[in-house]
Amino acid sequence: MSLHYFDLQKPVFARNGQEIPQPNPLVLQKYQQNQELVRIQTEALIDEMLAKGKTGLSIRSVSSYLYDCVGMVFANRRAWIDIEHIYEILTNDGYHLISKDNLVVGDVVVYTLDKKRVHVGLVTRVHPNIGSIPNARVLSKWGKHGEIEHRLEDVPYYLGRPSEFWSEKVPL
Amino acid sequence: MILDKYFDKIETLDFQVQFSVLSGLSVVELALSYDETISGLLDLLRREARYAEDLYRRIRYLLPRVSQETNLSYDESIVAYLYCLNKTDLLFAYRASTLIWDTEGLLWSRWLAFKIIQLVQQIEQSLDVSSVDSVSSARSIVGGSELADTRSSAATSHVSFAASPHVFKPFHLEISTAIVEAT
Repeated sequence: MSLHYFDLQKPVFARNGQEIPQPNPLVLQKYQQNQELVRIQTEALIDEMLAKGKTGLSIRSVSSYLYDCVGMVFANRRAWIDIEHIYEILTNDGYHLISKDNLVVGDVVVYTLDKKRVHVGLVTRVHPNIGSIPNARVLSKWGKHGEIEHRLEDVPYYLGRPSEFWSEKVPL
Repeated sequence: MILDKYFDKIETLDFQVQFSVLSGLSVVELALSYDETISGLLDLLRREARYAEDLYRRIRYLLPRVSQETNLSYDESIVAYLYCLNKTDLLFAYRASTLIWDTEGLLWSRWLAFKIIQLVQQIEQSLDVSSVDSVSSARSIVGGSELADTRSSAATSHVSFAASPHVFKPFHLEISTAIVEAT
Protein backbone atom coordinates (compact mmCIF):
# COMPACT_ATOMS: atom_id res chain seq x y z
CA MET A 1 0.00 0.00 0.00
CA SER A 2 1.42 3.35 -0.90
CA LEU A 3 1.09 6.16 1.58
CA HIS A 4 0.08 9.60 0.46
CA TYR A 5 1.73 12.31 2.45
CA PHE A 6 -1.08 14.75 1.87
CA ASP A 7 -3.65 12.30 3.22
CA LEU A 8 -1.62 11.61 6.32
CA GLN A 9 -0.11 14.93 7.29
CA LYS A 10 -0.67 15.45 10.99
CA PRO A 11 0.65 18.06 13.37
CA VAL A 12 4.03 17.46 14.98
CA PHE A 13 4.83 18.94 18.37
CA ALA A 14 8.09 19.73 20.13
CA ARG A 15 8.67 18.55 23.70
CA ASN A 16 7.53 21.90 25.08
CA GLY A 17 4.22 21.57 23.23
CA GLN A 18 4.92 24.04 20.48
CA GLU A 19 3.73 22.88 17.06
CA ILE A 20 6.48 22.39 14.51
CA PRO A 21 5.58 24.10 11.22
CA GLN A 22 5.21 21.89 8.15
CA PRO A 23 4.97 22.92 4.51
CA ASN A 24 1.54 23.82 3.25
CA PRO A 25 -0.02 20.44 2.34
CA LEU A 26 -1.24 21.89 -0.95
CA VAL A 27 2.39 22.19 -2.02
CA LEU A 28 3.05 18.50 -1.43
CA GLN A 29 -0.23 16.97 -2.50
CA LYS A 30 0.78 16.17 -6.08
CA TYR A 31 4.18 14.80 -5.18
CA GLN A 32 4.39 11.07 -4.71
CA GLN A 33 7.59 9.09 -4.59
CA ASN A 34 8.12 5.70 -6.15
CA GLN A 35 10.25 3.51 -3.91
CA GLU A 36 12.02 1.71 -6.75
CA LEU A 37 12.89 5.01 -8.46
CA VAL A 38 14.11 6.44 -5.16
CA ARG A 39 16.35 3.39 -4.77
CA ILE A 40 17.78 3.74 -8.29
CA GLN A 41 18.42 7.44 -7.85
CA THR A 42 19.95 6.99 -4.39
CA GLU A 43 22.31 4.33 -5.73
CA ALA A 44 23.29 6.63 -8.59
CA LEU A 45 24.01 9.36 -6.07
CA ILE A 46 26.15 7.02 -3.97
CA ASP A 47 28.11 5.99 -7.09
CA GLU A 48 28.73 9.64 -7.87
CA MET A 49 29.93 10.28 -4.32
CA LEU A 50 32.24 7.25 -4.54
CA ALA A 51 33.70 8.63 -7.75
CA LYS A 52 34.57 11.77 -5.80
CA GLY A 53 36.44 9.71 -3.20
CA LYS A 54 33.67 9.67 -0.60
CA THR A 55 33.86 6.06 0.54
CA GLY A 56 32.08 4.27 3.33
CA LEU A 57 28.59 5.37 2.38
CA SER A 58 25.81 2.87 2.89
CA ILE A 59 22.12 3.07 2.13
CA ARG A 60 20.07 2.23 5.20
CA SER A 61 16.68 2.50 3.55
CA VAL A 62 14.61 4.07 0.81
CA SER A 63 10.97 4.93 1.15
CA SER A 64 8.08 6.11 -0.94
CA TYR A 65 6.88 8.10 2.05
CA LEU A 66 7.81 11.76 1.95
CA TYR A 67 9.99 12.85 4.86
CA ASP A 68 13.30 14.63 5.09
CA CYS A 69 16.33 14.84 7.37
CA VAL A 70 14.49 16.83 10.03
CA GLY A 71 11.49 14.50 9.83
CA MET A 72 13.79 11.50 10.22
CA VAL A 73 15.47 12.80 13.39
CA PHE A 74 12.58 14.63 15.04
CA ALA A 75 9.34 13.13 13.72
CA ASN A 76 10.05 9.40 13.43
CA ARG A 77 10.06 9.51 9.62
CA ARG A 78 6.51 10.83 9.54
CA ALA A 79 6.91 14.36 8.22
CA TRP A 80 8.69 16.71 5.87
CA ILE A 81 9.87 19.59 8.04
CA ASP A 82 11.74 22.46 6.46
CA ILE A 83 15.31 22.68 7.75
CA GLU A 84 14.78 26.38 8.41
CA HIS A 85 12.92 25.36 11.60
CA ILE A 86 15.77 23.25 13.00
CA TYR A 87 16.98 25.77 15.56
CA GLU A 88 13.56 26.27 17.13
CA ILE A 89 13.01 22.50 17.22
CA LEU A 90 16.34 21.89 18.96
CA THR A 91 15.74 24.60 21.54
CA ASN A 92 12.07 23.69 22.11
CA ASP A 93 13.16 20.08 22.64
CA GLY A 94 15.75 21.08 25.25
CA TYR A 95 18.87 20.35 23.20
CA HIS A 96 22.11 22.17 24.01
CA LEU A 97 25.30 22.68 22.04
CA ILE A 98 28.20 20.39 22.85
CA SER A 99 31.79 20.18 21.73
CA LYS A 100 32.66 17.92 18.81
CA ASP A 101 34.98 16.02 21.18
CA ASN A 102 32.03 15.09 23.39
CA LEU A 103 29.91 13.48 20.67
CA VAL A 104 28.23 10.21 21.56
CA VAL A 105 25.81 7.94 19.75
CA GLY A 106 22.38 9.55 19.52
CA ASP A 107 23.61 13.15 19.39
CA VAL A 108 22.58 15.41 16.56
CA VAL A 109 24.83 17.04 13.97
CA VAL A 110 23.74 20.20 12.16
CA TYR A 111 25.40 21.00 8.85
CA THR A 112 25.81 24.56 7.65
CA LEU A 113 26.56 26.21 4.34
CA ASP A 114 27.79 29.78 4.70
CA LYS A 115 26.48 29.85 8.28
CA LYS A 116 22.97 28.80 7.20
CA ARG A 117 21.70 25.54 8.67
CA VAL A 118 21.00 23.22 5.75
CA HIS A 119 21.05 19.62 7.01
CA VAL A 120 20.79 17.48 10.14
CA GLY A 121 21.80 13.92 11.00
CA LEU A 122 21.94 11.50 13.89
CA VAL A 123 25.26 10.16 15.23
CA THR A 124 25.30 6.36 14.96
CA ARG A 125 28.87 5.50 15.87
CA VAL A 126 31.82 7.22 17.47
CA HIS A 127 35.25 5.65 17.28
CA PRO A 128 38.40 6.94 18.98
CA ASN A 129 39.57 10.27 17.63
CA ILE A 130 41.93 10.41 14.71
CA GLY A 131 43.79 13.65 15.12
CA SER A 132 41.41 16.35 16.23
CA ILE A 133 38.37 15.04 14.35
CA PRO A 134 36.12 12.47 15.99
CA ASN A 135 35.73 9.46 13.77
CA ALA A 136 31.96 9.58 13.84
CA ARG A 137 29.37 8.11 11.56
CA VAL A 138 26.05 9.75 10.95
CA LEU A 139 22.68 8.60 9.63
CA SER A 140 20.80 11.21 7.65
CA LYS A 141 18.09 11.48 5.02
CA TRP A 142 19.25 13.16 1.83
CA GLY A 143 16.24 15.08 0.60
CA LYS A 144 14.17 13.03 -1.83
CA HIS A 145 16.72 10.22 -1.65
CA GLY A 146 17.11 7.49 0.94
CA GLU A 147 18.66 7.39 4.40
CA ILE A 148 22.43 7.15 4.16
CA GLU A 149 24.93 6.23 6.84
CA HIS A 150 28.11 8.17 6.19
CA ARG A 151 31.23 9.60 7.75
CA LEU A 152 30.67 12.86 9.59
CA GLU A 153 32.01 14.98 6.75
CA ASP A 154 30.92 12.95 3.73
CA VAL A 155 27.78 14.63 2.43
CA PRO A 156 27.00 16.26 -0.94
CA TYR A 157 28.38 19.78 -1.30
CA TYR A 158 25.14 21.67 -0.74
CA LEU A 159 24.47 19.74 2.49
CA GLY A 160 27.30 21.78 3.95
CA ARG A 161 29.83 21.00 6.65
CA PRO A 162 29.25 19.56 10.15
CA SER A 163 29.31 22.70 12.28
CA GLU A 164 27.08 22.29 15.31
CA PHE A 165 26.75 19.35 17.67
CA TRP A 166 23.69 19.10 19.87
CA SER A 167 22.61 16.80 22.68
CA GLU A 168 19.53 16.57 24.88
CA LYS A 169 21.42 14.47 27.45
CA VAL A 170 21.31 15.68 31.00
CA PRO A 171 24.26 14.56 33.17
CA LEU A 172 23.24 11.83 35.67
CA MET B 1 20.76 28.90 -29.64
CA ILE B 2 22.73 30.41 -26.80
CA LEU B 3 20.30 29.04 -24.22
CA ASP B 4 20.91 25.47 -25.36
CA LYS B 5 24.19 25.16 -23.49
CA TYR B 6 22.38 26.10 -20.29
CA PHE B 7 19.56 23.65 -21.02
CA ASP B 8 22.10 20.88 -21.63
CA LYS B 9 23.80 21.51 -18.30
CA ILE B 10 20.76 22.16 -16.15
CA GLU B 11 18.92 19.07 -17.37
CA THR B 12 21.70 16.60 -16.54
CA LEU B 13 21.46 14.12 -13.70
CA ASP B 14 24.57 15.68 -12.12
CA PHE B 15 22.85 19.04 -11.88
CA GLN B 16 19.56 17.69 -10.62
CA VAL B 17 21.07 15.52 -7.92
CA GLN B 18 22.78 18.50 -6.26
CA PHE B 19 19.38 19.92 -5.40
CA SER B 20 17.32 16.77 -4.88
CA VAL B 21 19.23 16.09 -1.64
CA LEU B 22 18.06 19.30 0.03
CA SER B 23 15.42 19.77 2.71
CA GLY B 24 13.70 23.08 2.17
CA LEU B 25 12.87 25.59 -0.53
CA SER B 26 15.00 28.28 1.11
CA VAL B 27 18.02 25.96 0.92
CA VAL B 28 17.24 25.13 -2.71
CA GLU B 29 17.18 28.85 -3.50
CA LEU B 30 20.41 29.37 -1.55
CA ALA B 31 22.11 26.56 -3.44
CA LEU B 32 20.84 27.87 -6.78
CA SER B 33 22.26 31.29 -5.92
CA TYR B 34 25.72 29.69 -5.56
CA ASP B 35 25.57 27.72 -8.80
CA GLU B 36 27.78 29.09 -11.58
CA THR B 37 25.54 27.84 -14.39
CA ILE B 38 22.56 29.58 -12.84
CA SER B 39 24.57 32.77 -12.36
CA GLY B 40 25.48 32.66 -16.06
CA LEU B 41 21.88 32.13 -17.08
CA LEU B 42 20.74 34.99 -14.86
CA ASP B 43 23.34 37.32 -16.37
CA LEU B 44 22.14 36.38 -19.84
CA LEU B 45 18.49 36.98 -18.95
CA ARG B 46 19.35 40.38 -17.48
CA ARG B 47 21.20 41.36 -20.67
CA GLU B 48 18.67 39.84 -23.10
CA ALA B 49 15.18 40.01 -21.65
CA ARG B 50 13.71 38.32 -24.72
CA TYR B 51 15.13 35.00 -23.53
CA ALA B 52 12.63 34.91 -20.67
CA GLU B 53 9.97 33.67 -23.06
CA ASP B 54 12.29 30.93 -24.30
CA LEU B 55 12.84 29.84 -20.72
CA TYR B 56 9.11 29.81 -20.13
CA ARG B 57 8.67 27.65 -23.25
CA ARG B 58 11.37 25.31 -22.00
CA ILE B 59 9.47 24.82 -18.75
CA ARG B 60 6.32 24.03 -20.75
CA TYR B 61 8.32 21.55 -22.80
CA LEU B 62 9.71 19.78 -19.72
CA LEU B 63 6.56 19.68 -17.64
CA PRO B 64 5.01 16.50 -19.03
CA ARG B 65 8.34 14.76 -19.51
CA VAL B 66 10.50 12.44 -17.44
CA SER B 67 14.25 12.10 -17.69
CA GLN B 68 15.52 9.11 -19.68
CA GLU B 69 18.45 8.95 -17.25
CA THR B 70 16.37 8.72 -14.09
CA ASN B 71 12.79 8.15 -15.20
CA LEU B 72 11.92 11.04 -12.89
CA SER B 73 10.44 14.44 -13.63
CA TYR B 74 12.75 17.37 -14.32
CA ASP B 75 11.78 18.94 -11.01
CA GLU B 76 15.21 20.38 -10.18
CA SER B 77 15.73 21.71 -13.72
CA ILE B 78 12.31 23.33 -13.73
CA VAL B 79 12.81 24.93 -10.34
CA ALA B 80 16.13 26.31 -11.59
CA TYR B 81 14.43 27.89 -14.62
CA LEU B 82 11.59 29.21 -12.48
CA TYR B 83 14.10 30.65 -10.01
CA CYS B 84 15.77 32.55 -12.88
CA LEU B 85 12.44 33.81 -14.24
CA ASN B 86 11.41 34.91 -10.76
CA LYS B 87 14.56 37.03 -10.56
CA THR B 88 14.21 38.59 -13.99
CA ASP B 89 10.65 38.48 -15.33
CA LEU B 90 7.83 38.01 -12.86
CA LEU B 91 5.18 37.89 -15.59
CA PHE B 92 6.69 34.80 -17.19
CA ALA B 93 7.48 33.40 -13.75
CA TYR B 94 3.82 33.70 -12.87
CA ARG B 95 2.65 32.16 -16.14
CA ALA B 96 5.00 29.23 -15.64
CA SER B 97 3.88 28.89 -12.02
CA THR B 98 0.24 28.43 -13.00
CA LEU B 99 1.25 25.58 -15.33
CA ILE B 100 3.56 23.98 -12.79
CA TRP B 101 0.89 24.17 -10.11
CA ASP B 102 -1.30 21.77 -12.08
CA THR B 103 1.45 19.23 -12.72
CA GLU B 104 1.97 15.98 -10.83
CA GLY B 105 5.31 14.65 -9.61
CA LEU B 106 6.99 17.94 -8.73
CA LEU B 107 8.17 19.08 -5.31
CA TRP B 108 10.56 22.03 -5.50
CA SER B 109 8.96 23.54 -8.61
CA ARG B 110 5.46 23.46 -7.12
CA TRP B 111 6.80 24.87 -3.86
CA LEU B 112 8.38 27.85 -5.64
CA ALA B 113 5.34 28.20 -7.93
CA PHE B 114 3.16 28.45 -4.83
CA LYS B 115 5.36 31.23 -3.47
CA ILE B 116 5.24 33.15 -6.76
CA ILE B 117 1.46 32.82 -7.07
CA GLN B 118 1.12 34.16 -3.53
CA LEU B 119 3.41 37.07 -4.40
CA VAL B 120 1.29 38.01 -7.41
CA GLN B 121 -1.85 37.81 -5.31
CA GLN B 122 -0.30 40.17 -2.79
CA ILE B 123 0.60 42.60 -5.56
CA GLU B 124 -2.93 42.52 -6.92
CA GLN B 125 -4.44 42.99 -3.50
CA SER B 126 -2.18 45.97 -2.82
CA LEU B 127 -3.50 47.50 -6.05
CA ASP B 128 -7.02 47.11 -4.67
CA VAL B 129 -8.38 45.46 -7.81
CA SER B 130 -11.05 43.38 -6.14
CA SER B 131 -13.35 43.66 -9.18
CA VAL B 132 -10.77 42.24 -11.54
CA ASP B 133 -11.30 38.60 -12.46
CA SER B 134 -7.62 37.88 -12.13
CA VAL B 135 -7.73 38.08 -8.36
CA SER B 136 -10.34 35.39 -8.01
CA SER B 137 -8.67 33.29 -10.70
CA ALA B 138 -5.35 33.41 -8.93
CA ARG B 139 -6.98 32.70 -5.60
CA SER B 140 -8.71 29.63 -6.95
CA ILE B 141 -5.35 28.29 -8.07
CA VAL B 142 -3.90 28.08 -4.59
CA GLY B 143 -7.05 27.65 -2.54
CA GLY B 144 -8.27 30.76 -0.79
CA SER B 145 -7.85 29.59 2.79
CA GLU B 146 -4.10 29.19 2.44
CA LEU B 147 -3.32 32.82 1.67
CA ALA B 148 -2.14 33.66 5.16
CA ASP B 149 0.90 31.37 4.89
CA THR B 150 3.10 34.00 3.33
CA ARG B 151 6.85 33.70 3.43
CA SER B 152 9.08 36.65 4.20
CA SER B 153 10.93 36.65 0.89
CA ALA B 154 7.71 37.09 -1.04
CA ALA B 155 6.82 39.95 1.24
CA THR B 156 10.19 41.54 0.62
CA SER B 157 9.73 41.41 -3.15
CA HIS B 158 6.26 42.78 -2.65
CA VAL B 159 7.61 45.79 -0.80
CA SER B 160 10.13 46.52 -3.52
CA PHE B 161 7.42 46.40 -6.18
CA ALA B 162 5.14 48.59 -4.15
CA ALA B 163 7.88 51.18 -3.97
CA SER B 164 7.84 51.50 -7.76
CA PRO B 165 4.29 52.37 -8.82
CA HIS B 166 5.39 53.36 -12.32
CA VAL B 167 6.51 49.76 -12.85
CA PHE B 168 3.50 48.46 -11.06
CA LYS B 169 0.53 49.59 -13.18
CA PRO B 170 1.63 48.21 -16.55
CA PHE B 171 2.85 45.09 -14.78
CA HIS B 172 -0.60 44.56 -13.32
CA LEU B 173 -2.19 44.78 -16.76
CA GLU B 174 0.25 42.18 -18.05
CA ILE B 175 -0.46 39.91 -15.12
CA SER B 176 -4.19 40.14 -15.72
CA THR B 177 -3.68 39.23 -19.38
CA ALA B 178 -1.44 36.34 -18.40
CA ILE B 179 -4.02 34.98 -16.02
CA VAL B 180 -6.72 35.08 -18.66
CA GLU B 181 -4.43 33.26 -21.10
CA ALA B 182 -3.36 30.71 -18.51
CA THR B 183 -6.91 29.90 -17.54
